Amino acid sequence: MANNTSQIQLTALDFDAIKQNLITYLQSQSQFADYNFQGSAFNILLDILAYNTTYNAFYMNMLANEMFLDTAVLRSSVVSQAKSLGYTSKSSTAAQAIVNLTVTKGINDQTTILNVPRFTSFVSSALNGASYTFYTVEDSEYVANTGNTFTFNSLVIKEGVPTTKSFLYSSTANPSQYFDLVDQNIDLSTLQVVVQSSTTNPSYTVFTLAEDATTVTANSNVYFVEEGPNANYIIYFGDGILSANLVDQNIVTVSYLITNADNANDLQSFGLQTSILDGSVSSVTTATPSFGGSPIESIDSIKTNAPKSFIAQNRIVTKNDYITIINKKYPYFDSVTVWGGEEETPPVYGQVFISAKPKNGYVTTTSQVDYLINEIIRPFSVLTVTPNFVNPDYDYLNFNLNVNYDPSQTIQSQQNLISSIISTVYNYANTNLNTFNSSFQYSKFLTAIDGTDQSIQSSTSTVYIEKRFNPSLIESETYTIKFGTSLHHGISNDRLYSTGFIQLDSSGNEQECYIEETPFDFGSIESVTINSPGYAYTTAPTIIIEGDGLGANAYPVIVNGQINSVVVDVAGNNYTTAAITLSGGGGTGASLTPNLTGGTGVLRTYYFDTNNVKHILNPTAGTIDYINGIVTLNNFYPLSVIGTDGVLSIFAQPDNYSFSSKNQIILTLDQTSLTAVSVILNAVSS
Amino acid sequence: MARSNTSAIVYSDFNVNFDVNPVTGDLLKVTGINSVTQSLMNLVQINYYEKPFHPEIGSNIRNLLFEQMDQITSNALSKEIQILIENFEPRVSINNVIVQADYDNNGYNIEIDFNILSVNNSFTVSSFLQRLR
Repeated sequence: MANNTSQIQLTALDFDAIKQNLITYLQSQSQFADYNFQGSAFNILLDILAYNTTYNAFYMNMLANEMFLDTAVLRSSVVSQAKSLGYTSKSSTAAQAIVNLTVTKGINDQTTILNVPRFTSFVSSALNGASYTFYTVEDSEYVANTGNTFTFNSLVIKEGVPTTKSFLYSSTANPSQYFDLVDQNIDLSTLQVVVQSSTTNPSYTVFTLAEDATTVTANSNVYFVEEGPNANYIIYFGDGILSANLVDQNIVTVSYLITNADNANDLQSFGLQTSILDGSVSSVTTATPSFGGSPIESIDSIKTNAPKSFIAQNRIVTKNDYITIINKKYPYFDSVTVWGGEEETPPVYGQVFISAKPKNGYVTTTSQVDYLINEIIRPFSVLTVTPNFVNPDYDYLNFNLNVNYDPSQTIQSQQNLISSIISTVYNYANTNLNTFNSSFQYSKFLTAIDGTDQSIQSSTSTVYIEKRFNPSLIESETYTIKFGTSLHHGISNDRLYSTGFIQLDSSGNEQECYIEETPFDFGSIESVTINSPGYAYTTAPTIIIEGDGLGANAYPVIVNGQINSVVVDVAGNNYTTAAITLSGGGGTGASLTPNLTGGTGVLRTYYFDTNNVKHILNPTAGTIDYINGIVTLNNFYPLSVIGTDGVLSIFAQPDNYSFSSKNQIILTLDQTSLTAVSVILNAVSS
Repeated sequence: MARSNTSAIVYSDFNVNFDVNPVTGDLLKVTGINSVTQSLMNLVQINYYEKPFHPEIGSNIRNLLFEQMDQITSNALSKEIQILIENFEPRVSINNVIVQADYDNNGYNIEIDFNILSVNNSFTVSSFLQRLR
């Protein structure tokens, strides 16, 4: 059998495969035949060859792996690759707590001002059998005594072991000005670098961390930091051009905390370890228990974050840049969304809108918004783009479920079945809603309902979107309420409705009023669109409008043989569909489409009198833009609102039961509302 | 080393000393029974863990040489050599392995009596095993 054994295979990487390849190769010669026997000299030679090849292959493979961020395994390689992307891995973070300290001085003590110096120690209560020592990381401000006591509020203390090291700088011994801190688990945020002129000159300068090389000048007293090969940190200084450099005999003193990271989280109480004022009595109360301790950034995390940080380039330009930098620098939000002003209706160019749902609660306060815009976004954003913060706008969904079930197929009572269905709705909402850019899918929702219990045969639901707002009770205002999706054109009991409010009727009596959609306010021909003007018309052709309504009439205006415009002289009524055909005129090729009204509707307010007779209070209380889903209430001025917290709700059905939210709108389900989900069970037999 | 005039030339290997032909300069070949006996003596000298990635190939003979020199160790050596050859030298079948302690020289005389499977004659290879350090 022909066998191409003289070709050596080059793809094998493990020892046995390489050796087998060599044996296969040797099969093509007849000089030496003993290569298969373990004791033969040739076999031992093959061992050496294969071992050498394996060794080289492994080495090359490892070398290639470590050269790329995606495949590197060693921490030092990953850190080094990240460094070339301008990324410094996050150090360990010490757990921190906030405490209030009261120092009561002795009766004869003349001290009038006092501060808490850096590295004042506090001992924590024990957790899992271990207690930890916390330290202040900076000098507090001096406070004056009140009576015999000094009170220090909101002292930030961090867990760790304070460490101080000094290096004598010599340009010959250390020309690159690198200082290895050696220790692992340093919290870099606690690192303080002080440079003393020399052993004989005690003047000193505090150097700060250089976070952005572009803001550094030749005189900037900054240091740079990078991670070393063993998760240690190395600090180094500038060269006198990029930033201030060291000179011979300088003494570099560094101090920092070596932390136990997340082990020291959740400690509840603390005590001062040694008194800061002789003869005094101290008491410590905890304002915030310890939190935030975390170990050094993992290799996987560096691999994920370094390229993302590189893409953003410390600038905010794209939508994701905003989201990334807000999440990184201000981890206060559950969900953040950003959109350009051009997506607004009408468009607002040159502006960018940011909306975010806080982790706790629904609304972001003004001071938080100011901090976010001025301290976090503006320093990084493009000059001509104005950032705006918009609080999220909630679309509360309401469901009226109609469920057919077979009682013989379940052991659940009706009440339990209803509870199960309601919890299915809640689960659906928790999984699919409550974030920006979420979607409500009607069919998936019903599928979830049907899957609640095996006895459920089928289900239907009406979906209402509820918008809540607080109308002014002191002056007349115009309200624009955006539903964020096209709205259904209600005819009978599917119309828009509201919760109640009090207004004066024409006789000056207070009445309980409601808002509703004015019915039948559609169905006429509003205009005609010319799709194609045609040609060779000598006289005006007759326009024939065919549809399910009555009475509409229109005629064309001919210019140079073409239809130039169409005049609708009678709009007609009750059209839901209409089409146009042309007759006569001598020409051909023209095509026209009638436009039905119904893009907008009218809202009115009404009340029932004591005899339960309905009265229209204001027939033009507002308008609905069905297509854009915008409800406008003109000059709305209720005396009071019937409902908790002065909230007025407007309910409208979406045009399409499957819809999604965009911009600042969040679809949500208010699980505290008793009317959000109603279930009607119909017993059927299968 | 015993030699036989019967050779099984299907087996060919190079000389472990890398001796070369004085005329041509080519690597010298050992063939037939010489190749097999060279292989046997090689095997006896391979310790466990000596072959890369195959720690199971080899024997414990070197350690036994450092044991108390007596009949028990001699027997153990004999058994060890027998198992080694049965496992890793498929070309031969062992007839007998004789190990005799040479107390004066601190070593063991070994004599392996075997048959090459493709040849009818039996062969004997003898050697002296001595610990070095």
